[in-house]
Amino acid sequence: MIEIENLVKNFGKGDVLKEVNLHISKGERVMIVGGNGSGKTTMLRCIVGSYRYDGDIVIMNKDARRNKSELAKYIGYVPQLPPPMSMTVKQLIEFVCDVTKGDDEPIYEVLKQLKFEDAGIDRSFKRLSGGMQKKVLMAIALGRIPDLLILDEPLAHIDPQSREIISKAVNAMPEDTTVLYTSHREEKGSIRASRLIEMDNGEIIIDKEYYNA
Amino acid sequence: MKNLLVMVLFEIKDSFRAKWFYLYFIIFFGMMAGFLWSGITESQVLGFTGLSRVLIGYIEITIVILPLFILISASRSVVMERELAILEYILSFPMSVSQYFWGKFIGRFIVIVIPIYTAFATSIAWGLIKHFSIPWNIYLTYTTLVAVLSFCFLGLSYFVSSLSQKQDTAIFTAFFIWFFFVILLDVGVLGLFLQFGIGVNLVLAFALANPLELFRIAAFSLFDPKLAVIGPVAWTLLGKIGSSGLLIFSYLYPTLLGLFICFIGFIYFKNNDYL
Repeated sequence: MIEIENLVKNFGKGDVLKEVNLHISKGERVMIVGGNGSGKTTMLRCIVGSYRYDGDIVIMNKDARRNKSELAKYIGYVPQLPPPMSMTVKQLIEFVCDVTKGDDEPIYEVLKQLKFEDAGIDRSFKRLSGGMQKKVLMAIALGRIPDLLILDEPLAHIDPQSREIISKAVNAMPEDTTVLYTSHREEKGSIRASRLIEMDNGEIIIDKEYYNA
Repeated sequence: MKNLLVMVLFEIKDSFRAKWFYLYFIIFFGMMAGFLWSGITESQVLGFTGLSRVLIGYIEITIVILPLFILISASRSVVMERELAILEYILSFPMSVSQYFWGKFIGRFIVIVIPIYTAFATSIAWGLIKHFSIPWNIYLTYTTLVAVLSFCFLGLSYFVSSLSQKQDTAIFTAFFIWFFFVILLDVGVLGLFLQFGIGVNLVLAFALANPLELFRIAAFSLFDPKLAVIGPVAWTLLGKIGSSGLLIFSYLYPTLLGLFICFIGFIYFKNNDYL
């Protein structure tokens, strides 16, 4: 599903990612852990194409850089911090469905599962609480039923009840969905993982099979 | 292609939600409404009365504040979305970088001309009600000139926005560009000419290179090429290349300049990080 070879990212003050090599198979559920500045988010951003990089990233046998918008059809992405968009939740979902040529029904279904209040639909996205914003982005990503789900700290700044709801929704994704998510530390009993990768200072220091369900 | 249209509509709707748009609309529409309401159509200056008088007043203010509004608001456009990671999120969907960039550009262009064209339409309606003679030719040419000027400064704004890393830098640069073009207007060019003894052809080249000056000369020449208020450099230019030649150049040059500069910005934008 994802093949990363010699991935290097530099912001001008030394390498943030140092020759990272990683192969992820279809259907794997990978938890990436590491402290602040370990390179987790930078790696995810390289995978989704937000950053230029040196090295190679191949997703579904296609070069990630050259086929960014084509691959985006199969990727659901939730950033660490929800972007402060002024449109309402309804307008945001409409926009996403227009771009992806998708149906809004599954997104609203997931929103319901995530216990998102109906009243929030017509509120400006940026005026929602952080937890509510995260639920909307999760619903958009999950509702599209992507082949590859990339979540950057999906459970950060979320209350315990919402963490459980979000984890349940991610775990309910079809078995062949590849899930890649980051976390500051190992999370037991939350989003299911079959593999654990630990990063430190731009390098992968641990890569092992894992079971946290 | 469909996503380009989606992005155009996204930008239009997003602008309609922004406070700057309402301020912009109030100023440009309100200015016209103010002119009509204050009875300026009845006054006479240098032989101009009716809607021609209104348009002259409108042009004088438009020259100065329209580019400033475009530069200040649009130069934040891309850099702000990059800073706030909105760009990252939008581009995580099947939206290409060119669809995003040019969709935003077209959408913003439409948003910029809406208040001015609404103001023109209102003044025409007012003229019809009051039985003034409508200078259709002037309206048509002036409408095109406004579109060309807006396009040019929007191109400059997007160039600034693409290259800037922070919103503050973009706004400062945008303001500097506006200031540079304004001081090179007719009086400034003439002052330069007198001060440094610069050759006439160089002064004329400066004037022709300034899209603001071109707009000013072309717009005023619609009313009367011999108009005293047009300024000495403008008057010499009109004498050299003629009214029609100047008008064609005023359409082509700013459009191409805006497009070229914007395209450079796009290339830079495309080949760099999106946040």
